[in-house]
Amino acid sequence: MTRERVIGDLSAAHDGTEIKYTCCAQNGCWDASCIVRCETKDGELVSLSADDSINAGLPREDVSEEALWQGMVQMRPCAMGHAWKGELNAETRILHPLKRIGGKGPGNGHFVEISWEEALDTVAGKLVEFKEKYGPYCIAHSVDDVFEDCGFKLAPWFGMGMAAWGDSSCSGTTCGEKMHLGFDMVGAFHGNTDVCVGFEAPDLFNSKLIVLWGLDPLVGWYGSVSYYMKLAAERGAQIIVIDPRYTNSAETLADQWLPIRPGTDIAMLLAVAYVLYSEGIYDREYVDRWVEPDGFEAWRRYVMGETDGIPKTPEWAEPITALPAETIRGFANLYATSKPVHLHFYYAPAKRHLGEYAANAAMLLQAMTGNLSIPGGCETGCSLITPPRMPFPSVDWQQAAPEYNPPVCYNIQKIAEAIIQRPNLDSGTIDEETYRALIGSPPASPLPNIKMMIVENQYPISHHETNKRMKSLEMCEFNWGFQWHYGQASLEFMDIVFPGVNMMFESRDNYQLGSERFMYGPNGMRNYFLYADKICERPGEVRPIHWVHTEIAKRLGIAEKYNPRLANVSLDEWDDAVHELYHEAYDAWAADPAGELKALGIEPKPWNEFLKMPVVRIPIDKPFYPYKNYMEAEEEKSPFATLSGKIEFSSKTVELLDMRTQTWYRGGLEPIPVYDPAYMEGKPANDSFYNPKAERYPLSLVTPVSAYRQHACLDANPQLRDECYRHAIWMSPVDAKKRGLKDGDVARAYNEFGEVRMPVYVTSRMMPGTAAVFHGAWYTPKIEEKTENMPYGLDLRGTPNFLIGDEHAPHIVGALLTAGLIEVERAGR
Amino acid sequence: MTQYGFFFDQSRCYGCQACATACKDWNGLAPGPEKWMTVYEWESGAFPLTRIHTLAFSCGHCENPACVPACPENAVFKEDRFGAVLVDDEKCVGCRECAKACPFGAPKFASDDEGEKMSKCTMCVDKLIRGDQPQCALACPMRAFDFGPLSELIEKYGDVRSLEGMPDTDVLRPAMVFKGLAERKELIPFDAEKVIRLNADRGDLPKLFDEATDVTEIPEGIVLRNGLTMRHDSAGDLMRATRNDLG
Repeated sequence: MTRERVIGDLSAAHDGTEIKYTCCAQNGCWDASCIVRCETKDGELVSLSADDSINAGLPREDVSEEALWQGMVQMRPCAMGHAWKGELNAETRILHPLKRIGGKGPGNGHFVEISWEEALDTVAGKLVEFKEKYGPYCIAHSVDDVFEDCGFKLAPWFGMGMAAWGDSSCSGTTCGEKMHLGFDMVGAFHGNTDVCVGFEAPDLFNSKLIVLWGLDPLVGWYGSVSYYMKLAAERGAQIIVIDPRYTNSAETLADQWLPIRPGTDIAMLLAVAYVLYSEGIYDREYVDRWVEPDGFEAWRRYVMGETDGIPKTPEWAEPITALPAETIRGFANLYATSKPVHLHFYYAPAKRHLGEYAANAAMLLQAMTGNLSIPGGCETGCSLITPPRMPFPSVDWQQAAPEYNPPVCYNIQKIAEAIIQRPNLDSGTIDEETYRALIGSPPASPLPNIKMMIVENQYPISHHETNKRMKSLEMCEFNWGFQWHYGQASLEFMDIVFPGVNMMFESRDNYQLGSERFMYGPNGMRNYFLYADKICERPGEVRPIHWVHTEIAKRLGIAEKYNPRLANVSLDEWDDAVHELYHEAYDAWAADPAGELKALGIEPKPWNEFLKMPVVRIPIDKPFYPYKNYMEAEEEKSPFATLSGKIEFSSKTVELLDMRTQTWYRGGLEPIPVYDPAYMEGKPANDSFYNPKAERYPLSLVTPVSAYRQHACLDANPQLRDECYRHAIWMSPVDAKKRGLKDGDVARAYNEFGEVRMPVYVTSRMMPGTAAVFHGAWYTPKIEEKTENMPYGLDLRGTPNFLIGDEHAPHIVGALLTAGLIEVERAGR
Repeated sequence: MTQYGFFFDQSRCYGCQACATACKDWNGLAPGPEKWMTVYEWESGAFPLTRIHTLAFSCGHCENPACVPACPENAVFKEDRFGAVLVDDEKCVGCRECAKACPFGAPKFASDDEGEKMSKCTMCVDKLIRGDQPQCALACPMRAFDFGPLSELIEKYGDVRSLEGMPDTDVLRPAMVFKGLAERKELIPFDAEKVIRLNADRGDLPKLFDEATDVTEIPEGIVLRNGLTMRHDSAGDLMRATRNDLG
């Protein structure tokens, strides 16, 4: 029978498979912890399916309203979650330890495969040598020195390493959160406070109006939040998208799109404030209770034009933003009368020169309208962190107490500057104060003297000013770390390369930033956890990350302190031994000594039963909204840890401290959000739409995260690249026409920082005068064509960070910059 | 036979291709034009009134399929339990008569090579016989699909059997029901003509364009993905039509 044979053929691949679960956890989508059901056979991954741990077999998943409010829904991955086979089995995969022969940089030197013994001995030997020769502050980690932590895992016992302040994601908003709201995001991540400014996805059902300002949640914040925004819209919430691009969220989620010129957000926000102040349409009760009155009045005077003679009216904002005054006024009125409003000013528009003031203004408007800390509201800073819904199991690694606490020496965005300027400091070309100011070095901290970088991702292309980042890597004497693929730009600057393991599938390693294998829900939904198991065998000589670090620790004589429970476990027994530690952790959790699980209605299954469907999920009673635990506390207390204990529209910290010398920001900050900070002396921002540079570089570039890369991860994946998408530069038909370009033409996009070659996507989704390139595409150097602004060779793929400068002056709020001014023209002149 | 089919909610789909990626992964299909699930994205209108349309379409498993009678080898048949249209690759000779007959582009080919055999969406019958559901429908992060007996879908979602831009569905009757794009609302005043005028000026810097028509009248051939084409003459055409620019 034909039918039976056809169906039999289709079934064959899936017969006799074993089911395991893991988590698609990568940074770049807010670590969304989507649940992936994996079929395996003989140690090979057969298929990747969506979460079926609840509501299995329901494509539409149209469960009850109660279940939706409770967050009792699946965590379905996006396209990336289904494409990991393309990554695991890639022909470009690095499968053996490598050693560089010859110089660094594309076209220089080459790699040879070496043994693990040689790789580990070399790295351990260099660590000992460099510590002795240069002291403890000569080593930096390309990304993990964030949040005032040190990325070198052995630092606490080896006594070498630095920490850096700042981060990459929320780096435009953290300063304002501190200065105006008294919220220290880094401290919160370290558990130093019980203030939580995040929200759970079902809280969106409480919102009457949702404003997505520079936020494209379908692409940039997936997981449950974007899905719940759609559900909220279907239930009557009004949604407005404010963005230079007609994003997919603008189409799929929004009622209305307001196209705003990139970087002019502050003008619109001030004009909104003008309407609220002048018409008196703000929440007086909330302001009386939570807002410090002098600052409220100081901002009012500025907004009304009483301090500088310029009333920040909608008419004033109109030619700046290219939005009609009536639209801005209409928005202000709708905003003021639609409580609760989830106005969410996102990270990108803050991560540009002076963008922090716009982010700060958004926070203040949410306070002014009483939408900052209510059900259906939004804190609109990092908007992250909600209290865990249940205790989660965790492994007792029994690490020894730290013997060394790496000091905070610089801002994480200034690694390249720290390296490049160090010789100038040593030669006396610049003085110590200048060096500190250039790199955001806290007063009295040790100065970095970086000679060795641990590079564990695509650091140079994932951060602004790629050429400068590469130059700084080239200047380091010895770089090492894990890399996953040939063709990664970072590889060209490394001396010893460990073949990277895909920890979601090939090991039971901790995830980045230390999360263990009991992965719990992301920001937005924290009512579940799963045991993310090892799914398939490792190829070649790929080994677990934790094993590698332990082997280095052994060579440094600190393995018993770093990893006492696994220090004597052989590689063959490693995965099982780790599994047993998780088993032990689970049993300790399941024993429920304090009765917390019982109180939550959780009946833990025995370990072996649990492994069959290793997901624990409980209903959310009332969704968390920002500051909920404080707003509902029986005893009134303020969650705003500013000097006044209130929301400070004019930051007293900024008013009282000399920000140029007494803080790591190292520059003049304005205490209130302003359009034109005095220290700019009337000059426009570096990346402003109105900067005179725009005569030469007239297109205002934004660089959003991609739907098909988690930052740079997955760029070469053939199941995504050129299959699902094309990496192209977005521009409007009017700009394309002027340049003789049509969709699909290859163009050169360039400015004073660099040049890339890529196809053009011509679309009416773009405002005139703007361009967009999704970030994370892998630099593909044309080595035989080196130019002044592309010293390592022209980029044939399109890494937008070549086009973004590194200048933060005159102050460093630590923003990872994401915008620039460029020109685009047809390639092959 | 009970005819099974899909519901597709265009208002929820943002063209992310999770369905297409999950389909290829489940069915072991290599990257390239053998896209049993095709996801289209196209735009209409001009700034600032642009709209984006999406369609995730695998096969209509039509009530009156054109591909079945078109096949000279009797390789394409309608399966008798779920109404899935399947191909027997032992009988298929790669003549492409099915592809000529199907206006929806459901028959797929791994290459343009002569004699390349046809393959297509199977409705995941291998999963259906186990009581499971199609892989694409379960994969959608926005829950834009439903799947089940066609009569039940019609009862639940209504009898809209086509989407704007699709080839005529009246004769072949794809076993699908649809919900179109969400309606636009003007929550606040928005004068599109004024927006265009404002966009021409740039402070003291040169004007961005002279006339509003520079924005609203788009010359032929500059914007390529401005409509829905479901049948493709070559692998290259299919790939171009089913790639977005979200990466």
